[in-house]
Amino acid sequence: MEKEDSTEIALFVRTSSKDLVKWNRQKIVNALIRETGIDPVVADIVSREVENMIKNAGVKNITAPLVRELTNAKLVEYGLEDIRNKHARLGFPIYDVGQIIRAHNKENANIPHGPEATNLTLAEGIKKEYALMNVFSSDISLAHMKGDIHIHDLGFIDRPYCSGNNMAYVAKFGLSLPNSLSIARPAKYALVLLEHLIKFSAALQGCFAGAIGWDAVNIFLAPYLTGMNEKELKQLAQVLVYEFAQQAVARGGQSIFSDLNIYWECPKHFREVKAIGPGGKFTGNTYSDYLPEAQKFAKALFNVYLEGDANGRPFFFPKPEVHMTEEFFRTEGHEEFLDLISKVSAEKGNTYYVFDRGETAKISECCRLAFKLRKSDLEDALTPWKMRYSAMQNVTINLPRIAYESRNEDELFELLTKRIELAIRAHLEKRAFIKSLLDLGKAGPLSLLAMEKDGEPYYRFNNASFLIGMLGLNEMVQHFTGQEMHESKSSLKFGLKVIAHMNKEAERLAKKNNIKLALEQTPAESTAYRLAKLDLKHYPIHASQVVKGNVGKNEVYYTNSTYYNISAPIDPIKRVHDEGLFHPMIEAGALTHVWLGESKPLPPSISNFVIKTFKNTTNDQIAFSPEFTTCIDCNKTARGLQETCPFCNSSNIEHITRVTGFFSKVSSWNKGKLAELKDRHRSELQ
Amino acid sequence: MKIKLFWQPNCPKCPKAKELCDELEKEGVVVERYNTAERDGLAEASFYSIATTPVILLVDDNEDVIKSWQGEMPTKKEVVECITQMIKK
Repeated sequence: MEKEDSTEIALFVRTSSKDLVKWNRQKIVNALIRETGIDPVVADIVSREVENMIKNAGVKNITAPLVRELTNAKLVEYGLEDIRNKHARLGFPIYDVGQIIRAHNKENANIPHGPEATNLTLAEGIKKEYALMNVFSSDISLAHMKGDIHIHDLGFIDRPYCSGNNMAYVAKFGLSLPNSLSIARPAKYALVLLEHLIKFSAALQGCFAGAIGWDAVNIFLAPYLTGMNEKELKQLAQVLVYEFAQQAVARGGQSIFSDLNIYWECPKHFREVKAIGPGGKFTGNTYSDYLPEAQKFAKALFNVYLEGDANGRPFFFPKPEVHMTEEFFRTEGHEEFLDLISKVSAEKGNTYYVFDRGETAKISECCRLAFKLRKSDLEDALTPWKMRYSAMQNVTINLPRIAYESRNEDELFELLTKRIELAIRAHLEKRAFIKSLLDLGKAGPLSLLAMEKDGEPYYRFNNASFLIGMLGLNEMVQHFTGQEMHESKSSLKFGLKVIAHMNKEAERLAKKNNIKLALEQTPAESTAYRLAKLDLKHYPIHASQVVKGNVGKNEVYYTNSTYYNISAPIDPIKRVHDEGLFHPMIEAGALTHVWLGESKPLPPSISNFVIKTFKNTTNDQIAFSPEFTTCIDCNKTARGLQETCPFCNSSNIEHITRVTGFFSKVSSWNKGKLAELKDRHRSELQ
Repeated sequence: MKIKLFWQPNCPKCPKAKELCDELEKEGVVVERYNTAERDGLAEASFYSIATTPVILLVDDNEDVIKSWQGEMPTKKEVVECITQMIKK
């Protein structure tokens, strides 16, 4: 009977493995049973009906995807939606693929358009669907789709979010990665160590969705720098910056989102640590013994940033983060170094000032993420190669929507707790999925993270943290109180209460679920646009009153995280002070931007601003962001966003400034960020 | 004008600060108490950039700080004198 059925239709089917096979109805039955666990009798009925449909329609070109579509349609007809979801085919319509190949995907301004980028977009699209259908529970996926929460980097579902690393690992173990064609012993020379570091970063970028940060780079490079002169140090610094900066050109796809943490003093927790030097051997000295070399390299590095690239443009990556501590201000030569990094801020904007007050120690990276080092982490400093940290996932709460859905304060906080709980469930599901991949060990897709050089996997799974982000606090407060946060003390206080609630709930739920949970200011490069658009669709009356940008042109956004309205003409020191009030409650990273626009403050003004920020505020991190116009015809770079090149009058120009926490070309920004750029209030420091 | 007390459980110096505030209250001073281990207290402490306890603030009607005491608490007399001086101004 079966044989007769399978030969009934004398047609060939084009399969997904690029083959032509003779029609065989049983293949439908087999696939249904294998993929969905459906009752074989039901599978048989469905397959016969699909066969009849094909026969009756007289289809000439039968493809495996068509057969699957018809089968799925039949499953829906029978009300078997769950079975249909398991049997679904993931992918893109032909029209969309054509669009993706031709047009620039602007979800991430860090990815230039090109065939590799297209591959990334297509793969991300499929993995995003897979994540929503297969990794997360249906209510969590629905909450993401509706915009109650935003689960970040769904297209990178098979990778943790980002990592903080220590180059002592590369110094000690060399470059010996799983699946690599050749193995390199520990470096004997500074240049080789940097090459290892950059290649290892590229490998790590393949295993993480976002940033690859390196702690105290100048401190750990220092033992390799003895006896080198200024010229040699600058050459090394150029290699480090250019190699990171140009990776995207060489590889296509995403640039390595790289961060270099820099210290002027030797941090307390590294002072007595035995230094690793050439050949991966202990030198017999401690890292504090190499402070002069570390300081010279820090200066060389910032001199490279000061020059910019061959056309005078700022480097987009790697991002330099200078840690400002009480010890910084006590260490000899800090005035000169602060002057240099302030000059870089004024000229190119690269410097990030990370404020570690009191006993705080952290690794900074990404747009603003910080791994605050706890007591056990500081104990690890004695074996610094073990200092490997990761945030496994970030889930952002759409705050304005909670205000739209609440009738009073009690309801608002109750709903906020429910959304945080939902985010935590998403975290736990991602955690289980990543664990299943890591458990595959060397044979699995995350073999790099599973490698064990020091007795435990590179990825310290139990040490990973989980981030709860927030978006549009300003609009939430505006809807609920009638005023934006900068407009009254009471509205600011209400904003603080919301973040205090999130902080306390995160603390409570971390204990309950036995995970490291921390709040982070969501950079919200695309989330600010996506959630504003979704709220205009689902809550048009409420959202249109508070959303920022141009509603008529659909160029809309919510204010990032806990920021004040970006267009409000607020004195920069007040903005840094007031936004900094939130920062101690946001353990996993916060930042205030000082948008400079065309203005170029004097370096001493920036230094004074930084000192005041350190001493008089609780702000965690600041960066000064100038704007640039770079000419593609004459290769010169000018200050400000000009309509034509001020040197040759060409209109063949690119605009450059920070999109969220990093520099990029404005042409690669999404509509929401373009609207925000128009609104940004630029400051002139006095 | 009023007093704001910031305290938290298991803080060794907080009981003394609370006693002082109880006494001030008996003298007719308006006192608001904030437990910084809880949401509302944390929010209020954040507004004044307070990271440790105990802290006593004397604030005006606009919620601006006139005087603050941190760690080592003042005597009742010192606080009363401060309030009296401010009223005279």
